[in-house]
Amino acid sequence: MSDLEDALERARAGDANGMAELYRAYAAPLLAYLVTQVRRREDAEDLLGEVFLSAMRDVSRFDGNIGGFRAWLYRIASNRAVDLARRNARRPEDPLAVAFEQPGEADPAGEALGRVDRERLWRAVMALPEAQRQVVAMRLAGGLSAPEIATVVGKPLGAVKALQHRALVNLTKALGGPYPGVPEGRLEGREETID
Amino acid sequence: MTDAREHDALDAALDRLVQGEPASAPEGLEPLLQTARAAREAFSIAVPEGVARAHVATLTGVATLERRRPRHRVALVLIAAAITAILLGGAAVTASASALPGEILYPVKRAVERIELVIHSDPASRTKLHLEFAQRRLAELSALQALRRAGQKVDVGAAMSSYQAEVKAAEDALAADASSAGYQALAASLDAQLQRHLAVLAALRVGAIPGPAQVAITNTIQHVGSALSARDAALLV
Repeated sequence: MSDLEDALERARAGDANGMAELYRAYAAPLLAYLVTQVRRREDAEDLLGEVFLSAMRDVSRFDGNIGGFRAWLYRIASNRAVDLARRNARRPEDPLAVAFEQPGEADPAGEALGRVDRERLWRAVMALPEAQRQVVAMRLAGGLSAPEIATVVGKPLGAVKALQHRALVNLTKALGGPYPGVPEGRLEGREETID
Repeated sequence: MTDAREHDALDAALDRLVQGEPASAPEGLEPLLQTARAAREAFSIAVPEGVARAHVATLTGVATLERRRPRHRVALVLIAAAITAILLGGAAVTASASALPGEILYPVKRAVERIELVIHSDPASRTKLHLEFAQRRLAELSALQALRRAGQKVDVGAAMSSYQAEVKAAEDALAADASSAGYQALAASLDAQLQRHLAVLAALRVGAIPGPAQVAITNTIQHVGSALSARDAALLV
């Protein structure tokens, strides 16, 4: 049994330290996913805490392995992000609330990729159509497999693979990279949704 | 290559990439794989230490409460506060009470609030708590506005959204209490508080630097005003 499987077993038995270990393993990629969904860092950090609180309350009823647990966390996160978007939609538009907020200053990615490239990439991700953004963030931030994502979003595997392909084509174009067969300046799949 | 085969080939390369194995793709897909590598790197952000500590403290505190479940809520609150103080350091919890958004202890302040909400599950108590938190958000807004006028860069929009979220949560909790005997008194108390909030918001708008912050305050005033009007209209039916 791996350390994380052991942590999951302990969390199931009500041991908060088990859930704390799971938090340390999964919180950072989940935070990146949430930032792509709710756009503002502070909201994403609040939701991150809520996701793990919710998981801790219900983990005794969770019936699956550690891979399934990670996918389950993303399903909770996705639902929470949708709830937040719905709450925000009922409010009058707040021009400051939708402003782009980049990841924290101390994030390790800045060292290798370069701050400017990282910011361009985040902006390009944020400009993706919602369904593509959700899939590409689960895949590359969360490290979920395409079948796991298909389970989380309740869509056929083929649709998930097509969405991640289109997302990467659009990101490549937005970053100025060459990709044949995509008209200049056009994002593929602008109107598609995952619902 | 057909679309489906291309999608499968890219997916197989992404599997290797996310598992940390050397990944390569057929020639035409290599640019996409390079983008995926860069995105994976850009996505590797860190949870701020203060936020992580607050979250773990909340998880541990709630788990302990679930195990103990004393009869009286006052005892629950005291235990929660004690656990949080032990885990985060009593000084940190005390100091967090005056923390503003963006400051290192602010997540601690919000974590303590979340514990209070977990403990109080009945709608009336939650209404009062959310109202109290809304008042705190309003005080934070005033402090942020002062810092802004002093030339500091602060996120007034985020604080405004947090205030609106607390007001909305108080309204939702009140609505869930509609069938209780104390509903009218609670609704009157909420409305009286919101009226006072409107006065504070109006003062904030006067002092705001023209621009997005002022627009956000105006929107919030409209939001609170609409909520009050809706409740007035409901009373007339």
